[in-house]
Amino acid sequence: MLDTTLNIYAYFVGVFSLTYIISYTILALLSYYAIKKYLNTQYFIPNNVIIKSNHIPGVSVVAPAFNEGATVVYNVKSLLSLTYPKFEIVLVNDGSSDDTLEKLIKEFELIKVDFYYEEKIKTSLVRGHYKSTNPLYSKLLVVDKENAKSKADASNAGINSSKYPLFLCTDVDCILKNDTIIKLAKPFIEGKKRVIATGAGIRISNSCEVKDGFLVKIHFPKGWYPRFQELEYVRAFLFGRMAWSQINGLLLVSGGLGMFDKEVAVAAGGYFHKSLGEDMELITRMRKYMYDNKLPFSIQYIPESLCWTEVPATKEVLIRQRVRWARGLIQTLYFHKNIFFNPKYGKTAFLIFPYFFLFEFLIPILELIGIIILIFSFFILDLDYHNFLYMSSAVYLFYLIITFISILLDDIIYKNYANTKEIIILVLMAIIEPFCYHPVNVYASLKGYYHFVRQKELKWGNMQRQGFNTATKQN
Amino acid sequence: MDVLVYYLILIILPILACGLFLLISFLVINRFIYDLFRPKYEAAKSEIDSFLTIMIFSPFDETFFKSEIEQFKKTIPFEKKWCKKIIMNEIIFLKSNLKGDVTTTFQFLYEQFGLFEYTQKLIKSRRFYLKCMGMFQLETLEYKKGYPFIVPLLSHKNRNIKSSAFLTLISLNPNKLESLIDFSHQITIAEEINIIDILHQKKTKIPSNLSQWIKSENVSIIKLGIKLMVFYNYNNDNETIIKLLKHEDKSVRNEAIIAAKFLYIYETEHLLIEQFKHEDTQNKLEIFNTLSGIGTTDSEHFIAQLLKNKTDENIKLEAVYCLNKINPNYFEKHFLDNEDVKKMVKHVKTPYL
Repeated sequence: MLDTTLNIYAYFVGVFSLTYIISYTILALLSYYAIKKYLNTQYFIPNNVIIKSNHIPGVSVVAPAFNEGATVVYNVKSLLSLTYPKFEIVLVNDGSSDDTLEKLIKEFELIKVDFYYEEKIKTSLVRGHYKSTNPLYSKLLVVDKENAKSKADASNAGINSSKYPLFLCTDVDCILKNDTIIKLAKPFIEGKKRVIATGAGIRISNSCEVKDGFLVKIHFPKGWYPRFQELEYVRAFLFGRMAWSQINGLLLVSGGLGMFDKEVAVAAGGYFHKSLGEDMELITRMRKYMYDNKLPFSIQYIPESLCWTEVPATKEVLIRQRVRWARGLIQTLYFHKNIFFNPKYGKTAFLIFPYFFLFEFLIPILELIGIIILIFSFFILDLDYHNFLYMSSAVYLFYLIITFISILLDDIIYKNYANTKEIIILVLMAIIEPFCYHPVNVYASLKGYYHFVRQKELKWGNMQRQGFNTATKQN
Repeated sequence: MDVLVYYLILIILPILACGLFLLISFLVINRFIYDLFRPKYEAAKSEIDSFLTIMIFSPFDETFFKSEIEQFKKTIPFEKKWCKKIIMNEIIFLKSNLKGDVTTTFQFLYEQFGLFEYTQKLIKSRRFYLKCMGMFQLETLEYKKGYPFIVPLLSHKNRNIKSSAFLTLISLNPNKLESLIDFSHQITIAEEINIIDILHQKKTKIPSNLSQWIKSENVSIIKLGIKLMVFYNYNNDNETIIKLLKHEDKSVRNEAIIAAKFLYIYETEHLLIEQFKHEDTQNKLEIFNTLSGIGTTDSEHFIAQLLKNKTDENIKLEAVYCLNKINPNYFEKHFLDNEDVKKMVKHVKTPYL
């Protein structure tokens, strides 16, 4: 009986692994095609033509801030320096208990204004709106609201206060490249179908030189965990998301950087404040809305790094973040379970959701079962270790190939790394990643699922910022 | 299972291991070569930058320029393709960012560095994006001698090539804008933006057949025609624009509403008021915009009625904006008991918003 069960499980894992490998091979090809297509057509409307044009949609940059007093002034200045002819910055002070608002009022000469606030998406109490008396900062609108322990709620208040048809959601501490708005808005202008969201690559700013909110020099991350995450980000953004973008199958546009069609986002109900994966959840709902109303749409990704953000530098903070992500994933799949194999939702029902269920949600569970069986076999059963080793080696080599293709693409196209040494370090990190970093991720995912099942209270972990290298420090 | 393992050991694992080894080698060696090459590249780029800047800001003297260029070619690895690319990009960058009559100098530099041959190669290439890049170079540099290379591409089956060819054509010869009426495909917003940009730069004269554009079967030509009428402040065809307010295509109506504002077509006021209830939110907002420019007391009454009837939540603030623009004193005597409207009026009257 036990033997039969184990045999069935072994076959299941074999078929599963094969499907996984085939899927990734297809994704690799799609990703290559999508990047090539983007690079070949990116100059059709040159940036300078967009900058001069009156016929482009306005963009509201929505940036929630909670207790960011130390850096908020620099961050806002950095956001105000973005290049685009028609944009505003909507900074949402999410009930900060520090001096965030006071600093903004003082630095940007803000006064409280009689803003007519329409709650198109339900949010917690908005205390007031502030505008600058200095024309230099006329693009800035500060929204002061009560804290609802949710970034989603703050973003929704920002969306309600925004005036343009597109909004770009980012974190106030994210550093955006100067032409970020242009690049993200372009697909909305060029798209043949209605584009409802766009996203782009995010990179790690932990060791970068930053002065007054501006990125002075990009450096390769120094710590172990940020380096592992660098690998993860390159793989996810350049490889995974570009491939999904090619077949209009994106289910996730990062909360750190994403541009959305406001009309559709509001109609879909905005960010869900109870979700721990509010970015994925919003895209899912926007997709559903478009399907429900039989409207053709597309969601596009840009294979360029436009945003630099600080990532967890320690194991504890990383686990906290990943627990939240894992819980967000299972929440979204659970909340929208009616999508699965529902013909109304097209490829979301038959391809995207099953993929996320099988290859994102299920994998940590299967890995745990695998480890248990392995230990169990070691003591009780007569396991064929040779075969096990061969199979594992094949999967391991395949994983390495996928990772190195991502690094290669990134290095050939964008040259984001300073020299060969950094590439070699990245290669070495990739080799040890499955043994050192991946188990931490699996643990965090399982913990996230456990929290979801136990319905543990939602908590927004406050990530301890390490701060940036300042340019002055380097001089 | 044994068969699978057999193939795994004999074929799959060795292929994966070799692939991995090759990939790592390529990754590292490629980067290493780039690191070796980079100082050379940057040095050449810096020299090219300085040289071109000096040349652009020097008074144009053909003989002097020629000798300087010939000498300069010897100081950089000019025969290399990457070097020509740098020169090309720098010339395009400077041309796009400098104002004033410098076209002749740029074209002279372009010719003397033999870059027209490079452009021709791109245009003759089989790859669509290289063709488009070549045409982009001609367009930016306003290089009229490239005209014969463009014409055959106007009927190319690839949509991107055809579009780029047309943009280059009207850039090199703005009088060819008339031929746009014969376009059978839909003009995208991106193409519209590019066309308007070319017209802005060239200060082209009005296409003689503009009146025909707005009667075209092709909706995108009608829209572009209306945009051009606004651009040229062309008032001779207001009657057709008024008719277009009832066009079956929503986006054409939108364009006509905008034109009514910018061309001050006062006759449209009543028609816009009448049309309002049939339009979607976007066109309703545009009607408010137009009425705020051309509206009279009739518009005042119409919008006041809308506000009393508790109009669509998404447009009421715009309605107040519009009413305030038509008559800034209106709210001093009206809606004094309506708290919601009073809040909106405060918003509208706040100078910083």
